Amino acid sequence: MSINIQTDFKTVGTRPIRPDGPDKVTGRAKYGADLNLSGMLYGHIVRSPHAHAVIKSIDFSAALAMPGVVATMSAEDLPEPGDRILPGAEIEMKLKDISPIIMARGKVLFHSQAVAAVAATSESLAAEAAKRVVVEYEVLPHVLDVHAAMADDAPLVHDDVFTQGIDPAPTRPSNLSADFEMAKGDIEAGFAEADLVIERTYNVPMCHQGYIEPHACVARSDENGKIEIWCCTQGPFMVRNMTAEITGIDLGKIKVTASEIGGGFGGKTTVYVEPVATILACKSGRPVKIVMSRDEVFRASGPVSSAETQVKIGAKKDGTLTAIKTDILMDSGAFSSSPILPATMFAAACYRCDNMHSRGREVLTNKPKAWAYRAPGAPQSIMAVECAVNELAQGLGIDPIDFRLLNAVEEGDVPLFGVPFQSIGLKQSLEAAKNHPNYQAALEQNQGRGVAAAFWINAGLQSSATIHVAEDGSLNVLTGNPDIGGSRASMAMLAAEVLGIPVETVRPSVVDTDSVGYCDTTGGSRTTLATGSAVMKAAGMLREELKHRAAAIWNVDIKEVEWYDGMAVVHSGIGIDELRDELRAGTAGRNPEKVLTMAELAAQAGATGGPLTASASVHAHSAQPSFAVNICDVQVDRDTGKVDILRYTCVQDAGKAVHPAYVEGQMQGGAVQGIGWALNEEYLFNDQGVLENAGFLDYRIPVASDLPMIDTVIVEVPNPLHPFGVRGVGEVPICPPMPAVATAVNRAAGTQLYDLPLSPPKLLAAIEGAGADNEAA
Amino acid sequence: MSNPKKIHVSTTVNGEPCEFLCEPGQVLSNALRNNLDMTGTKEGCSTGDCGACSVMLDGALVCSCLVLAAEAEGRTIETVEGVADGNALHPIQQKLLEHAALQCGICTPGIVVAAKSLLERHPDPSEEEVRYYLAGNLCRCTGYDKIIRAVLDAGTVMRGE
Amino acid sequence: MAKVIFPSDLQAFTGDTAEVEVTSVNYRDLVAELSGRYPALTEEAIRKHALAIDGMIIHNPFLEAFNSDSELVFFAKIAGG
Ligand code: FES
Ligand code: FES
Repeated sequence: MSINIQTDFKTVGTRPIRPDGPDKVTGRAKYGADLNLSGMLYGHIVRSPHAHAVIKSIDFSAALAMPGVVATMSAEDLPEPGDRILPGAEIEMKLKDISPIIMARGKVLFHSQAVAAVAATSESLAAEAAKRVVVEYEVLPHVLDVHAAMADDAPLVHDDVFTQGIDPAPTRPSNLSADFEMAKGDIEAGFAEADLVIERTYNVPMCHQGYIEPHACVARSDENGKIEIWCCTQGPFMVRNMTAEITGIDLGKIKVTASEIGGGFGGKTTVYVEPVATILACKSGRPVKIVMSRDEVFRASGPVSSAETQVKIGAKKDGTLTAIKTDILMDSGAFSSSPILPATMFAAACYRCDNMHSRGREVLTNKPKAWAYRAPGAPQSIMAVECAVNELAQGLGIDPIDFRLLNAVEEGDVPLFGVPFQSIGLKQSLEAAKNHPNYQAALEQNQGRGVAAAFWINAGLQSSATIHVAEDGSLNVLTGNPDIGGSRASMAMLAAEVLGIPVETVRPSVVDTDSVGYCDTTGGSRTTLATGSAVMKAAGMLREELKHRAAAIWNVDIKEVEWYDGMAVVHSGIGIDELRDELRAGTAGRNPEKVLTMAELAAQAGATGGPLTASASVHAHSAQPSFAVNICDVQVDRDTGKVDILRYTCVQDAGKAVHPAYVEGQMQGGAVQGIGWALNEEYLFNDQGVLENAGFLDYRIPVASDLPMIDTVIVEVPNPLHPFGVRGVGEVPICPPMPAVATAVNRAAGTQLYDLPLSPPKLLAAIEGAGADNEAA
Repeated sequence: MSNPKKIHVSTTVNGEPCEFLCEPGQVLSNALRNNLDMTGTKEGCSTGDCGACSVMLDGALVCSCLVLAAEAEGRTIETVEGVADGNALHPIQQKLLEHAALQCGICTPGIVVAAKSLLERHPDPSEEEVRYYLAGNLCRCTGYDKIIRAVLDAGTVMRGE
Repeated sequence: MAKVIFPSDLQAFTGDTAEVEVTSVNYRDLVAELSGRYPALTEEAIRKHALAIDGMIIHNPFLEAFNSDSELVFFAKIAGG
């Protein structure tokens, strides 16, 4: 299936200053924690000191005895989730896997799980009151390690989880919540054909999305039971839906306003504090604000599944891949929510290979519930396959990019997950990487280079947009997708492009859930594609309406009216092509008999049928995958194990880049998150399941002085299903960095260390070990 | 805990005299945000690790989450709200916009304050100097590339080149 | 006839059949045809999946129609981060 794709643009592809920018550089922009209301209370959450325990009782009396403490809550204030499935969610979610994150019910399953909450007249009072809530626990044995959790005698995290995906279905509950396989061809025959087989295990640690803005919200209720929530979220409609389900309040009574959002990366696609503030607001009759501390963010929100991946991969001497086998074990924390499916499906999606097998297992442990992070699951399994591909190419004496070019998927190829590829840009991205100066740069002693390729699927889903034309012909574009990285700029640009008007005359905004149609969450690299499609559709409807209005003014048939360059033109008498030539040459002048501008049409709106406005919604099916290729050069200090990134280049098939600067920004930001995950970031738990590095000092994300400039090359292979050729861009950038960095480090250090992060002490030990091996040999 | 008595603080914020009442344990970032409604100063960690709360205190760049509000007595504070001259953006603000050097923008106020302080002290820093000076300002979105370019470019403008 | 490809989790209900031809030319008929042919494959299990019709992934294909030579792939719903 394909459509006509526009290739000649006026606004798309330019780099205007984002409309929300001035508010952000001056500090005026309001984020989650920036709203204060009069009479507001502060909520504070009481968290579990145990990794696994029965909650025997909760006594609020001492807290309530404090002057200024107004309300308390626990799971008692929430309806039993039962077996309810969250309605309307993009992916099937069980309420019983979400509600206990808001308030533990009966048991706590990880350290720092929310158990109770208090609301008081000041932050310090609320914190003090929370300390006086007496919770009696009966401590249970806990399990933290995925392998230990799979043992027959392991403590059960849930006694009602039975492994999904195995036949016959098990009769005993276990911590192995899912175990499934996907296969094509004959994997053993494939290995038999191979001249070289690499087999190795790769470890990617549990990490955090690391957004700088902690979760925050203000909720208030009124006499009619209407609830208003202000919060930082990737999805205000998701907050409305989840809050309604978790609290039992009618969805129609809840209005959610998304504040500016200080980063999310998948971590703000669920709720943590909003239902708590809502209940406390209902119980107190006053606005309630909750702001998570950084410590709480690390301990109780969104960690990212760790993965242990075994890869076995074989190729012939000429470089043809014959078999790829992956076996991925993911830690989901205390609830089934890991991205094991995409990890398993997409591990080797870059490669054409007849014989493939992928197994995915999800394990539950007494750790915080894992949640989505940028291209969920893909970075972990792609790390393993890409490192193995590099080792295989090296073993065969083939350049790693040439090896990939030989085996790269292209249009018509069918990956393991079955959906044949349409027009894609992996080969073009590999060629661009090969031709980049970074790939030719000379390496010195203790320096190494790694390359990696990666795939991400991208989402479409549901979005709505409304456009109003003001009396001067300028536009308001309203959508419901929080702008996390410049999407308001792209919404304005897409509307401007469709209508042929200057982008400065378009004012995009993100509005509350009462003010625009439903929008799925900002995530899945979908906003520019899907919400953008709703904007384009509304703009197209408006363009038709404007032509009708012009036809009415000129009293001509609509067929004689064209829309050209932001104006209605009538071509009675002359052909449209002739008229266009005239317009281009400027010889048509400004004869209102022939031309009506947006401003002129808007000024006459009252006489021609009333205000000009259009709303549109889509369930976008036009999402298409993105591919990326990264090159990383490092230098290793053999005395300390420290790694310096010397050069870094990201190549990505973005489809048509609407605002190239923000596409580059996604590429650079994703690369640096991946570099952090490769070199430093990891969750460190003690044997009691307590996170030991719950702060930015000990959980070290990359800082400016850790990095060089991150070079970018945007490859534009148009998405064949989108009228402008747009693909999603936000997620795939985090997929190639870990294997690119790990390969570069191992080449530089002469090691085979694939247990991330490659922190200095670990790398130093590996260097010393490799040195000792060489001496022994 | 009985509510301890509040402390009266007289200080200067962005050139204007200003008074507020704070709790003894309250930090400056919190007082700016909640007592003075100056929410341009952000809080990402409250432990001095992210730089989102960067302000100038008597001309020195500090993390305002590590300064007690009461310590502001008699001192001079400059926040992001005071960087622009009315409706005219400061070169660092303008260059951050032109370089698309912000995505979510939560780190931006801290970067603006820190970068301005750098360029006022060292009008012509090297890339490495900018990277080290801003090492205390975490940005999770951008990978720093465009921020560093914007600061270097702002330096050029401020030097009148 | 349109070709249907089952992911491994659905193969558990199709007696390990990975690929099958169907006479249906729209999604609603397809669901009925498949659940009729494989009693273990319930409508509910099918509806948990997105459907890729000739390479286009559709999260909620309720009203979709396709051609008699279309290739249909059931696909796990993935939203992303
Ligand atoms: S909030 Fe002050 S350094 Fe993070
Ligand atoms: S722009 Fe989001 S943290 Fe810097």
